[in-house]
Amino acid sequence: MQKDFIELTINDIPVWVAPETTLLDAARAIGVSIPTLCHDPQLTVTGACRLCVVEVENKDGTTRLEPSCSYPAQAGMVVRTNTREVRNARRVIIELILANHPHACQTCVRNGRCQLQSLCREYSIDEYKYEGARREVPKDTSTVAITRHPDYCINCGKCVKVCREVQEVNALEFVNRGFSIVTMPALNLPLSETVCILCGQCLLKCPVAAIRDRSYVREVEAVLDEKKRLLTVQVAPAIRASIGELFGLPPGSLLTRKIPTALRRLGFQHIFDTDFGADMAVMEEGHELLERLNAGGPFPLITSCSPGWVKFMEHFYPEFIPNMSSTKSPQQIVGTLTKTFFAERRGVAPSEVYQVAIMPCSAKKWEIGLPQNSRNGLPDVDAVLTTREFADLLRLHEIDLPSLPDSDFDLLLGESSGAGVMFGAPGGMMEAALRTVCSIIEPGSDRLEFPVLRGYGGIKEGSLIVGDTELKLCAVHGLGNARKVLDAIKSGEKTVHFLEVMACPGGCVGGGGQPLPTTEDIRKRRIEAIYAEDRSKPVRLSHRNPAVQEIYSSFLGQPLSEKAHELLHTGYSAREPHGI
Amino acid sequence: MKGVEWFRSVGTEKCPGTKVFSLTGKVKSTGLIEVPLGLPLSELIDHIGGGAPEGIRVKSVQAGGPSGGCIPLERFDTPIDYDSLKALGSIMGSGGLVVTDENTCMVAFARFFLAFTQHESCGKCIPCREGTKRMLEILDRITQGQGHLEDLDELRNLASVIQRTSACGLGQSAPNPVLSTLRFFEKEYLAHIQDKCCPSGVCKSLLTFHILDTCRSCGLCARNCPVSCISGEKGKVYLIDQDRCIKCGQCYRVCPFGAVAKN
Ligand code: SF4
Ligand code: SF4
Ligand code: SF4
Ligand code: SF4
Ligand code: SF4
Ligand code: SF4
Ligand code: FES
Repeated sequence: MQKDFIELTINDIPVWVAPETTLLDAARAIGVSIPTLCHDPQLTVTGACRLCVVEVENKDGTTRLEPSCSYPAQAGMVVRTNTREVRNARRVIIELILANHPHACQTCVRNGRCQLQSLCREYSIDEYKYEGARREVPKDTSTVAITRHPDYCINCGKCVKVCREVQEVNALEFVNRGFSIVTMPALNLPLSETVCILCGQCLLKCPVAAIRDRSYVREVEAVLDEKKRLLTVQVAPAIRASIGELFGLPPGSLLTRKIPTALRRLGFQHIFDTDFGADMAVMEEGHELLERLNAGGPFPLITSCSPGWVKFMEHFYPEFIPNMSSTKSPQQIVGTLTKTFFAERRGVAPSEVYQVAIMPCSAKKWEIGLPQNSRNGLPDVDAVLTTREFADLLRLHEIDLPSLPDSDFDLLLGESSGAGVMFGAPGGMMEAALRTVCSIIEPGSDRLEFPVLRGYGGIKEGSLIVGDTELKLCAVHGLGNARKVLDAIKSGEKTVHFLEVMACPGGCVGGGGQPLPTTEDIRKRRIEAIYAEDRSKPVRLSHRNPAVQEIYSSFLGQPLSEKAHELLHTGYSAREPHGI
Repeated sequence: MKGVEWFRSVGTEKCPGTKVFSLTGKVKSTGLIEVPLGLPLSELIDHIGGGAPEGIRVKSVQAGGPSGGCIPLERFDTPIDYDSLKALGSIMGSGGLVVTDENTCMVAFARFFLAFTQHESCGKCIPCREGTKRMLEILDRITQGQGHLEDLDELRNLASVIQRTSACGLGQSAPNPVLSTLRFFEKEYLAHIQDKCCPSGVCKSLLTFHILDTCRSCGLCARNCPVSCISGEKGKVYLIDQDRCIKCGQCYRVCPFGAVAKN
């Protein structure tokens, strides 16, 4: 037993850790939290910022400084994490960063949620010490979802690494060297002309304001003030499990019934739920699966609700276009039905209706602009706000979300089942679809939970016997995982009938629009909240959602009917540049 | 050819063998030389290099290339081996030995080497990428006569953080020239900062050229001035327009009567 552990002392406290443990983790184990800027447990270690240095004693009694994030603990080591020299070194490093960084906290979107700012406070930095040249690189506002501000970049490299190692998109690179080094797309192309899928994972990793939301808060504020159009809004499943964090609540707090109250106070007249769109997506995509089972393919049927994934597929794997479910995403389903069904019922022109979608996702901003998501030149969804922007909008209107009274979403497009909310968790979209598909194939056999699809695994696989068919299932999140599975399917190594792909690690609860920080632990807690929300719902199967039944009986007819095809389905095409 | 045993029989106990150096600067014979480790610096410079050319007083030797350190004349008894060089804040490094004389400004000299390593930084880690830039800017200010006394402590502090925290040898050794000149030639730094004067007459911003009363108004300086900023007429002392002077030193060199002074 003991042999597997090594002993060292950190700040004179004995610590036992497994070999290969870093000094950073060993210190954390005894409650010493060393500051870091470039280290992230999900990414490879590069030891670039040197902020995490600690003092290590040499055999001859002298000392040296080593970066704790990358230095392995060794038996007998004597480590001190907070000596005068260590604090001085960290202070100098912070001051050096500031010397090459805009002095602009007051007007900065990261004000109050910036790691550099917090460090300055922790190390009582009270002046700008070094004055000198600053690297000046123009900002990149080419995309509809995220903007890059290289002047603020501290070159921690986390954006490059998450894009390369987790998403395997490789849209960002280190360019130049020395004092001029900067992270940007290869050839200094605008981000909009690259394979970037706008997932926003780089933004989540960025410790400063070098990658930002393209914010639509001002635009929505203006529309709310004008009150000219019929104001409608939809809220994605994952929002209810994460927005509380932006109001000081612990991760995993559910604020489902506070959100409609807040939206009404903002002036929205009709509060819809993307969960309802998810229920509709289950109906359509579930029937696509049934059709393919009857027709014998093509398999796998691949989900299409994650726009980051759709864009990735179009850049990197267009050969899978025939496999893609043609069902629109829940956001676009609610948008379309708002501008058609709802507008018709209210007797107003679609142009009179304005719709905001509150999303955990930056790629949703791209999705609403796709030509197939407009009708007669009018977009089905007019603006997307990320979870963070939604919280900003609420604060701007003096709304303290957690202390609001409860209320409900509006009928019809606001009524949802537990299956709908499951779209917020990775594997949840597939689970929701299977609930309905199983009960159609085996009427009366209410199968509600599919343990193989639960939990945080990046690639979850299993098979399901339904009727006399064995369905091979696979659900992945994070596009690096998607690549592995797609490549295995292409090579014939793997057979899958139904494949769920969510672009972001952790699915939508880990989307690029979610509160900062979004760590693995926080993602897991949001997932648990989604599961709890599902279990608390009286109706947990999409086809039993009365609103869904009503829409089909009074408007669409059957799933996959001609009208359903016209309104709720979409198409894909290979996208330039072709990714490798 | 002669085997390990023979090789180890030369040099010192801790640092056996020989080492090739590139001897340059103010010595009579420059070039590549191979010497046993442990040889005193003076031996190498005076015997092999033949000492300084006539009329030149050696001041120091920069050992180890751009990342090395400067060793003053008083320490030329130092044996050349890894530990002795390290103790003086220098390194064996590339084996470069640059001998300097009274006409070398040690601040400008350190700045020159730091500019090289700063330019070579790969940019990965903050202390090297950002720190060498700020050190260089401080040295720039000092050589331009805009230094402050506190700059010296700041240089020392930055240098030690860069040495101790940089990720690779480039950053770890980049501050050596600055630290070693600060250690052995602090006076020169102080002259730049307090007296606004470069004792070796190298730092142009701190230089002025004046024409003394001994001027015989021959006009040679005016004809040689590349920016034509010297004016005068027969029988009067010529005058340099200080605002336009680029401190090239041409007038100083050509005046046949030694009537141009620099300070
Ligand atoms: S990124 Fe952080 S430190 Fe920089 S200006 Fe913004 S809030 Fe301030
Ligand atoms: S948004 Fe996603 S794909 Fe684009 S650069 Fe960032 S991590 Fe890469
Ligand atoms: S953009 Fe942000 S995440 Fe990327 S290197 Fe710069 S500071 Fe780090
Ligand atoms: S996983 Fe969710 S948050 Fe991420 S791109 Fe897809 S839809 Fe957006
Ligand atoms: S110390 Fe090395 S790794 Fe760090 S910036 Fe300098 S050259 Fe690069
Ligand atoms: S130093 Fe050069 S520029 Fe100045 S006065 Fe003399 S010759 Fe002219
Ligand atoms: S956190 Fe260890 S070097 Fe950056």
